[in-house]
Amino acid sequence: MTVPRVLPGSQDPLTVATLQNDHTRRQEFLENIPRVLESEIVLRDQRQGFFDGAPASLKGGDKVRLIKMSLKTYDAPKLVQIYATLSGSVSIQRVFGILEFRNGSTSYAVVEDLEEPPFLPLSNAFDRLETTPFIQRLRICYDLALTVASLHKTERVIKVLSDSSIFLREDDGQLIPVLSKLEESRIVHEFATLSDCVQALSQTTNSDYDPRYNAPECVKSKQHNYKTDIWRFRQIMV
Amino acid sequence: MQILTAQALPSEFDSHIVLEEFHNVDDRRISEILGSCLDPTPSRRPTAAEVEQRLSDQYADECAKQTPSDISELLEKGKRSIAARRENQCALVDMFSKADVEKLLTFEDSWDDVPRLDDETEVGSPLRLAPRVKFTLGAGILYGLIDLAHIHVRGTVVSRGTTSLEGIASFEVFYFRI
Repeated sequence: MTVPRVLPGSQDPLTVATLQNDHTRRQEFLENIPRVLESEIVLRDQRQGFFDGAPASLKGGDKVRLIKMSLKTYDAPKLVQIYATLSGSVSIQRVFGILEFRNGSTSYAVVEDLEEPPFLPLSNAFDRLETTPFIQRLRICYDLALTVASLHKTERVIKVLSDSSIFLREDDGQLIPVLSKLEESRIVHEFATLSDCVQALSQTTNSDYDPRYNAPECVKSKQHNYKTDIWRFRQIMV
Repeated sequence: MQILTAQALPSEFDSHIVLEEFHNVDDRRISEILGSCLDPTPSRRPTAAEVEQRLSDQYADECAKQTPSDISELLEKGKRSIAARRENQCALVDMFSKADVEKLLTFEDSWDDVPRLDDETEVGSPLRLAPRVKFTLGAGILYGLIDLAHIHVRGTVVSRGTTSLEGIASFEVFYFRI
C-alpha cells in the first residue's frame, strides 16, 4: 500500500476541468501516476468518462477502478492507513492509494475492480447461493459480521450496506464476501464541526443507495449510525 | 438478496413489513442469532461485535456437528467394505476415493487431538478416532481398497515413526511374503 501524496514537480496544478477537456493533459496525468502509486496505471477503456468509475490496471496486473472522492473533512493518508490495516484481516475492497491533485480539489481512490469475474455481485448471486450448503452461507455471514464489527471499531459508520455493496469471490470452491462502496462510509470523530458530522452521516444521495434496507427510525431522523448499520446487516442475512 | 435463505428481497419492502415477517421466521437458530438486530428500539439492538460473536459460535457449532458425522460415515463405509472383501462379496465393496483417504489421514493422529492442516499445530479435542482410522487405512491397503498414490503422510507423522508412503508399500510386500 502506498501512502498517497500530491503530484510532484514543476507542473501546474491539474484540475478535473482541464483534464476533461484536454487530451494532452490527460496523457500527462497518466504518465505521472506511477510517481503517485509507484506503479504504472493504464486505463483499459479509453471511452470511459474521465475519471470516475474508469477501469484501469496496475503494472502488477491488479485490475483497479478510479473512484472520485470528497476528502474535505478528513485526512486521505489516514483513510488509506485504516484500509491498509483492515484489509489484511477483514473482507473489504482493496484500496491501492489515493490520487490527489496539487490544488487539493479532487481526489480519486484507486480501488480493486469488483465488477468483473471472479467477483459476483450479491444481488445477482441467487443461483450460486441456492446451491451453496447452509454452513458455507453461515460462514459468509460471519465474515461479513467480522468486517462490520472491525469497521465499527475504527468508528466508521458504513451507511450503504445492501446487496449491491457486497460482492462474492470464489476461491477454491469457497465463497468469500467483499464489502465495497466504503467511500460512502464516514468516520464520526474526524469532523471539525457538529454540522459537518450531521451532514456526513445523513442519508446519501448516491443512486446505488437502497432504501429497502432502512431502519424505521431513519424515516424521521434521516441519519445513520451503528444501530442502523446493524438493521441493514440483518436484512442482508435473512 | 438475503444470504442465509438465498432469497431475493421483495422489490416493495419497508421496515414495517420486515417486522411482520420477522415473527414468521421458521428457523429458530437464525432468529436466536439475529432476532434482536430488528428491535424497533435502536438502543436495544446488539453491537456488531456481539453479532459477530453469535455467528462465530453458530458457525463453530455447525462445524462440530458436521465433522464427526463425516468421518463416522467414512469409517462405517470402510468397515462394510473390508468385511465384504474378507467374505469375497465384491459387489458390496466401495473403494476409497482420494478425498476419502485425505479425510482419513486428517484424523489419523486423533488420539486426543485434531490436527490442523494449515500450520500443522494441534488443538485439543474429545475425538479418539486414531485406532479405527489406523485399522481402516491398513486394512484398506491390504484389501486393495485404497490406492497408495492417494496417501501423503504429513512430515510430523513420519518423524514419529509412522511409515512413509514407501514404508507403507514395503509393509504391504512384507505382509504378503509372510
